[in-house]
Amino acid sequence: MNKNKVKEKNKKIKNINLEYIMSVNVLKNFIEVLSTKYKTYAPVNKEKRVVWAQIKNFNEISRDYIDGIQTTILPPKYFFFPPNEKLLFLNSNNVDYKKNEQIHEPFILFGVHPCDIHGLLLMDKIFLENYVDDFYKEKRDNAIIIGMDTMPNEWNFSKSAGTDIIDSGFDIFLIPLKENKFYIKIATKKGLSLIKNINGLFPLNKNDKKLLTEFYTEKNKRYKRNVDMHDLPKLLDRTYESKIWDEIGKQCVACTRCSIVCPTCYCFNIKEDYYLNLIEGERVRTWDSCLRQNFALVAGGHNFRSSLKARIRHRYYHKERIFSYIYGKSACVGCGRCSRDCKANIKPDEVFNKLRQLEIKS
Amino acid sequence: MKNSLYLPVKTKILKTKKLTELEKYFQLDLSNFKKFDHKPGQFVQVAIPGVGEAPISIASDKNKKNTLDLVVRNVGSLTNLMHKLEDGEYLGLRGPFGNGFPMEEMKNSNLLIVAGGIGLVPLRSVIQFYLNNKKNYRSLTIFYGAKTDKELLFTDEYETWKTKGINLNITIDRESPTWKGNVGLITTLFNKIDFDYLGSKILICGPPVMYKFVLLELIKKAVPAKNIYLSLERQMKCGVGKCAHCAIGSYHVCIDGPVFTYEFLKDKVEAL
Amino acid sequence: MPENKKVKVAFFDFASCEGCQLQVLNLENEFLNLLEHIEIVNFREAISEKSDDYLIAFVEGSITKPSDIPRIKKIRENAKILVALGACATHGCVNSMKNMFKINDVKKATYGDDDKLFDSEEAKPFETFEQAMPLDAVVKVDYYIRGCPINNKEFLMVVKALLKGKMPEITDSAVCLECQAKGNICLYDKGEICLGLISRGGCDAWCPSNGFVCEGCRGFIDKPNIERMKEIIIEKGLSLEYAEKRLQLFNSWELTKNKITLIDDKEKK
Ligand SMILES: Cc1cc2nc3c(=O)[nH]c(=O)nc-3n(C[C@H](O)[C@H](O)[C@H](O)COP(=O)(O)OP(=O)(O)OC[C@H]3O[C@@H](n4cnc5c(N)ncnc54)[C@H](O)[C@@H]3O)c2cc1C
Ligand code: SF4
Ligand code: SF4
Ligand code: SF4
Ligand code: SF4
Ligand code: SF4
Ligand code: FES
Repeated sequence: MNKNKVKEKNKKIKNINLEYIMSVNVLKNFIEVLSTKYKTYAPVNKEKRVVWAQIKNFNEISRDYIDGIQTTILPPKYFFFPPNEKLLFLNSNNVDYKKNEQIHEPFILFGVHPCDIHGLLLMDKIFLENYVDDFYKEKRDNAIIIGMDTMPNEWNFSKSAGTDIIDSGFDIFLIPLKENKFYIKIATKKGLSLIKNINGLFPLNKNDKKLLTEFYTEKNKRYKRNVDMHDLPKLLDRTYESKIWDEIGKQCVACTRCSIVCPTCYCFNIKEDYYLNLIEGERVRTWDSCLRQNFALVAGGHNFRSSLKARIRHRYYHKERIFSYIYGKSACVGCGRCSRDCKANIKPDEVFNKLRQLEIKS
Repeated sequence: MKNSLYLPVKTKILKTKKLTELEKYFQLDLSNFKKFDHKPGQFVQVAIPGVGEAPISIASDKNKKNTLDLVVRNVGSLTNLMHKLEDGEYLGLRGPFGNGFPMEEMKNSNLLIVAGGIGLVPLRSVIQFYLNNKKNYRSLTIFYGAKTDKELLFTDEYETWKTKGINLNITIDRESPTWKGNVGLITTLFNKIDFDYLGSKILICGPPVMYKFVLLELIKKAVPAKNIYLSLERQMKCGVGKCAHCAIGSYHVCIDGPVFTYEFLKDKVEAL
Repeated sequence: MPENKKVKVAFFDFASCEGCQLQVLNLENEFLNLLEHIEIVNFREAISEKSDDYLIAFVEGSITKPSDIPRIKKIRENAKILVALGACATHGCVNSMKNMFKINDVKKATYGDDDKLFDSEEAKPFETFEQAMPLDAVVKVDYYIRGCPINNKEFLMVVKALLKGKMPEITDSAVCLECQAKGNICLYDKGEICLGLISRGGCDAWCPSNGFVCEGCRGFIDKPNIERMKEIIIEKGLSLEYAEKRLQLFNSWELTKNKITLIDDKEKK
């Protein structure tokens, strides 16, 4: 068998495609069973917002999230690329580093949105291609992803980003339908093993298919934000000197929140510190942001992006161009988190629209 | 011990030498590496436990003794502590990283090296490569500029370079009683020296300000952009395309560079 | 650093509450551990002998009176490394609030009718400047440990780095970076005014993580966009007066120096 055939065969084994319908009660039971076997994380309410937390039963899951009113504060990248991660232990006397061996066990991420799954697949490209980031991979390999579609929230523009639909990157995928039903799709062997002992899965009948169509019709109708994202890198190239960047530069306060909440912002800082004996210590990586003043400072004091205009512009160029050229995709998956959290009101869909309009005008 | 992308290899310093007030030379023993296959123009991440890492260019070509040369300018935290290290002490090392100069692509051409200050360091690996593979290249000419004659690097190698046929041209910014050669910025050499600019491959490395002026000279002489190779500097944290600190336009300087052709960089925003 | 030789360290204070030095003493066990590597030659809170022979000087407090100047200059001369300790020393802190008012009003507020005493000859040494200044308005400062009070973990980080000859890395990002990375609910979403947007972090977003707004006790980030901050407060229908008071609490020095106000005189009436 040649290489391609092997690949195809593997793909076939991996890509199961089973579709069922179940009642919400079956799903409740399913989650209870799962959460006794695996640590299961899902979106839950915290005050008026939604955060990822470990759950034991279905009722803990945020209703707002399922109804598509809002999404989690932090994106799922948090589980694979935590905000603070101890990478190495060090000994300055022996000039020695050791890997911080973490203990991993399989865990479930429940309810990941299609746009966030797209986000994870893009993160995989950064962390798993070329050089493999072992810290990311170890956690990623242990994750069981149960995706879930919902209505778009007021900031989401994933339809424009082409990330409203997903056909890989999950083990199981759910869609909440009317009549207290859930559509369930099993996509991997792992997913199959999870539903093995679940009773109450039925093949889709005519009515179910109708409900499914209704879900999508309703979803498409609900998108309030639409933007033409084709050709984005080229549009950005053409508008690099546009005065819109001056305006946005004046608007931004460099708080960095947009990068932190973004499912595909991946940059990090690395720092080392000693313990009190001044011999041993550790190397830690933390989330970073190109909006930070000295992000691009080099020895000799030259800062490649000292103005706010240059930094906020870089955020857009980095997101749209680096992935587009290397991987043929925009890194903005349209999740809307940065729009939601930018107190200065900078929203990517509006920025793209402005740039496009400016071009049409001139 | 488990391996990791971020784990430096303990590396012995065989030899050190102070080259100038600010620059120190290190010869490292690579025998702790299972494999270390480097190309001219690549770099390593040097680590001092507790302090961190810095990208440093490889200043030598492959050799039988399995050693590696670095030259480090004392500008900050890590580089200052590196200057305190002596023969027989140890460093952490990861690499080699980056693309390096495409020596294969440049075969059968005249080579022109344009180096400003510490920019000569990565290009010394090209010089050594040239000397080891002379038959594959037509000639090598060097334009090298430094602030003063006291800041010139690798001075004890100039004679060897010249006797082996390298056309070495040095200029310093300001006159000095101890200097008899060219005076003036590196760009002045382009008018002084008659050279087949059009038919050559040109390799540039120096401080950020130098690129603009050297490129202007080359554009004046109508050198095709694809024949100009530049090595860029950016803040780097990981060296392996993950941390995004080095990103310009659509690329990570650490893995897609640090060497780019001018043709490639021309329309890349913010590159130069 | 030679192994068995302890590094001599001195602590000094100018106008301040000495709370930052107390933060250092609060380290207790960690502090004792440190004493294996350092010798404290001057530390009013901890020991009484004084000495002028030291490598690192940690200086707390703002410069507020003429007699402070020769003293801080002397400290600068003697110390190889001068570290500003705490917000009073790094950027004026609460002391510089008086920069916002006429000096006589401050005296009156502080000393009541006794303020007349200031006019007498005997009071000359106590004469205060119109402004309370951070140390770097007078001498070169090598490193800044910010905060009111300082975060003693950060203090330890700086001491350890200096002892090993490393330049301590001080945060330059806004408080929001650490606050968001912790997944906190932003206080603006609860209708509060938080200065974390333009204030320098490094405190692990101490206040917002405990439900309190950030008041910018570590000063602003470089080149803070205060113009925009003002618009944000107006857009959200929040009180500019209140925001201005918050801003002045720790950052009056920078505000007066750069003549920044949220409410200009026209709007004031
Ligand atoms: C591909 C590549 C190859 C290189 N090759 C070489 C080489 O061969 N030889 C060589 O000597 N150098 C080389 N460099 C440069 C070298 O990497 C830097 O000089 C080095 O990283 C400095 O590290 P440091 O810890 O000593 O300095 P740092 O302490 O990190 O800082 C250096 C300077 O930057 C300023 N600075 C840094 N961070 C901040 C901050 N957060 N806020 C304010 N100021 C800051 C400091 O004030 C200081 O002046 C190369 C760089 C690259 C990218
Ligand atoms: S969240 Fe808004 S204000 Fe803050 S850095 Fe991002 S764009 Fe600028
Ligand atoms: S840029 Fe904003 S909308 Fe796009 S993926 Fe990131 S957080 Fe979501
Ligand atoms: S856009 Fe900026 S914050 Fe986001 S990953 Fe790129 S460099 Fe980091
Ligand atoms: S609470 Fe304050 S510090 Fe936290 S994100 Fe909101 S503005 Fe920033
Ligand atoms: S949150 Fe703000 S006020 Fe609180 S400690 Fe940090 S910088 Fe100071
Ligand atoms: S140095 Fe980290 S991505 Fe290039």
